[in-house]
Amino acid sequence: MSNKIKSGKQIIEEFFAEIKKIEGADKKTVEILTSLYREGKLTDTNIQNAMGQLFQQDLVTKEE
Amino acid sequence: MAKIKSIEISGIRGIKIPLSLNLNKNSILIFGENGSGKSSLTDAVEWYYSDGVEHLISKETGVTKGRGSLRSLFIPNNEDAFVNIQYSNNKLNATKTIDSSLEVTTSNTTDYFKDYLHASQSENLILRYRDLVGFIVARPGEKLEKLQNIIGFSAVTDIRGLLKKSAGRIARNIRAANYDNQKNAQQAVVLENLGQNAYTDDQLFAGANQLIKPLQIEKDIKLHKDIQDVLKAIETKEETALLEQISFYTKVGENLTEIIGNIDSIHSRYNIYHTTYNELQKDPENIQKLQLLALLKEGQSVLKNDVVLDDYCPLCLQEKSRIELIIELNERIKELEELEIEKDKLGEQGQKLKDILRVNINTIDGLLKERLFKEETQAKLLEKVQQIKTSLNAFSDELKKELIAKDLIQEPSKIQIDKKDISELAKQAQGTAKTLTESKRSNIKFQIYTKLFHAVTAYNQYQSIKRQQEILTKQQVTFQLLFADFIKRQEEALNVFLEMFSANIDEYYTTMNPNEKIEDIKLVPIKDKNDDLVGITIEYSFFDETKTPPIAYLSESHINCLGLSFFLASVKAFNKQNEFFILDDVISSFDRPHRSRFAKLLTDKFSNYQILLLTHEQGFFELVASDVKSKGWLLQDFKWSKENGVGIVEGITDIKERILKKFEAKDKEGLGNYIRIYTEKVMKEIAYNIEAQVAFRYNEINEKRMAAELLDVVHGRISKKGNGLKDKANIQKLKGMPMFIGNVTSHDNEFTESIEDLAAIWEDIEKTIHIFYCDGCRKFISIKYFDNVESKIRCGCGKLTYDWKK
Repeated sequence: MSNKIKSGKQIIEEFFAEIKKIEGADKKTVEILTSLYREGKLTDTNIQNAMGQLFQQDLVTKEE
Repeated sequence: MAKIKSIEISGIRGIKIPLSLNLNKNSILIFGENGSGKSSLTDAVEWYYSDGVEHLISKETGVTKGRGSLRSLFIPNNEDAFVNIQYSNNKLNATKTIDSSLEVTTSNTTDYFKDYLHASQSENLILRYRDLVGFIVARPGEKLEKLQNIIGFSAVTDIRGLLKKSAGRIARNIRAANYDNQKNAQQAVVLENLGQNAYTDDQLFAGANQLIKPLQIEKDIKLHKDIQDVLKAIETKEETALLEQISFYTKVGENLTEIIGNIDSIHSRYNIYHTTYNELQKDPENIQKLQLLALLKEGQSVLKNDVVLDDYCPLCLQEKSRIELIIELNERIKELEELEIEKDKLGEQGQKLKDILRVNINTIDGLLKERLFKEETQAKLLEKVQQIKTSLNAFSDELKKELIAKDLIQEPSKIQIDKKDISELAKQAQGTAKTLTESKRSNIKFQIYTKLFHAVTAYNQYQSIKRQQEILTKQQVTFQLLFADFIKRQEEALNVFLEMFSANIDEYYTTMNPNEKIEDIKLVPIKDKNDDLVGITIEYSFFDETKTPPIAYLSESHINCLGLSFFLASVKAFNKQNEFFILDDVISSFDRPHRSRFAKLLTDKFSNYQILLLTHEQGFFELVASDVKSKGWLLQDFKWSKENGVGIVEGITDIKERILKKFEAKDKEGLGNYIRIYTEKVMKEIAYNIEAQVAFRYNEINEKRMAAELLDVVHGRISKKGNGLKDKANIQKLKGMPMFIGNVTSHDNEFTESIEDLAAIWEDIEKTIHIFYCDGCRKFISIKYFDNVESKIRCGCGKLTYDWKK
């Protein structure tokens, strides 16, 4: 029975392995989330901070 | 997968002196009356794996996780309590120790063992009676949470929550910032100064070229740098103060325009909030219900956390089944859930209003930092701007009011922001900026400089706001897409799991309850109106009609069967490290047929597993003992004594080993007592096999037959039936031994023995026993091997054969 069942870890791993293929998703946001997950730092605060930084970076890049 | 070879426990709960179970990877059925300490074994194993004991946690404060109640109070401070487990894989062998300061150490410090222990923590190793129905009577949301924890989906739920939360937060920020309104405010400044809107660089450059025409400078603006060059060329240093004033009024006008654009939104959000708040408050019962809901939830947590273990209501102290209480609380909480949804809706509406208020208050705070507000001439304007802030804060104050505290909130008409006033103020500021610009009508250069400067600043602001909006929208869309992909994966996996898991539950349940009209038991996901997974319920078909939830239709015994089936299905599905589990007194509410089928379920469907089955019910023990023994299970009795705490009622082999060790060590301490106990046990077996009859006694007293009495009846039986067996066995000699003349305990006996005396007695006992017991087939001579033709009694293999009268 258990062979066909995916564990929670499997679901998450597969999601992050295929996240780049999601059409229409911003590549930088995806990269940030993947690296936070790989580092074991995927928390609400860390996402919020990282998105804030990305916002500033994007703003500067576009202004340049 | 690991099985247990042996467990040794000392100083844990009721266990004072070391208790050893030599399982050798076999299953075991343990009987012990209530208070005999069976659960000390379960507690010890739970602590060994999880570092705490769930049902003890509620008895303690602090972070000891039940460890304070775990160590036996009766062991000296300098003695460590410990659990030693030897496994089929000896790389896992370990001793976990807890000293008197509750410091815990583990002998096996390898990463291999740490990984094993960590992985084992999420496995289903122990089921107690009190936890049996936890899943079955839980509310749908709790079922989902519990199930997701068991199957390791809690991390999946966490990530799903993070994605949803992030998408929601960004969307809220976009809404609160009201970027379109901000962009319009900037375009108003562009229009005012450039005479046309500018949404693109080309439009800006075209407008700028038009504006500088009267200067007749030969410059064609094609780039932003060109605008800066023109501004530099026509800048007049003498008018700095005037320019600062114009900029100041322009900013006041622009910021107030932004706020004006948000006022309707603030009012309408407050109206919605006010309506919901008042709707909830209008019915005083709602407030009472919300207070009650908080109490009911607290009560539910008290029962679930085993703060109250016995069957009574902790509030009114009346007798009531704990399970019934939990079910009743769940139903009452469910009735109030709709109200809770309304309360949550109010919270969301309040949050939306808070967000937009925050953005506008920040705008005002930024404006109030302008240097010119410090000048006395601006006192009136300052006061008016501060009034706007006060009116915004008035909404924030209303949001702080508590529904449950019955606070009243202001009518929307009472705290309206005066849009007309602010519009007037904005117009005045814009007008002043214009007037100041035109005050130097003769100075065309100054006028063009001022207009171009403000138009360009507003255009850049517009572009910046537009970019912010684009970046945040891109982030929001990304999180939405990720969330959609993630929930699809989660739901697919959960459905596969539920389907297969349900099939196992159904199989185990129907094995225990055959020929009943309950079929097709399923775990079914529940979604809310937003298509979000919010819970799981149990469905089954009853006389071909689908029923849910089960508690309304099933008896306590059936609910327990369902709980057991759920646990056993979890064991099969998710235990990857361990091939053993403990069932502690789980059959209390089962009737006889259920008990028997339950034992069959374990021996048939879980024959590969090592099961430690504990029961306090002698009837159950006797009912299944012979069945499970024939499948290779061990049987064991637990007992409790004041001197030793929890202990094992030893079998014949254990006692013999102990006697031989004592002889080897020439240790006569307690040896006579062991020989007496051993003789009693063996004589019981002999009496049973040759059908020597003793006087009737009730069960408990029957267990305490003394050696002398047993020797008597065996002697009587072989004298009557055996031909010459009486002389060979020489029981009379044993009967004359001083240690058998006395009471149950050897302490009452005045016989003071030497080791040589005991050796002589032991030799005689062994000789006698070997008349009845065959070392070859390891069986006693028995009536069941009686040869009717030859009139002989023999052992299983026939090596021992004696004449026996019919």
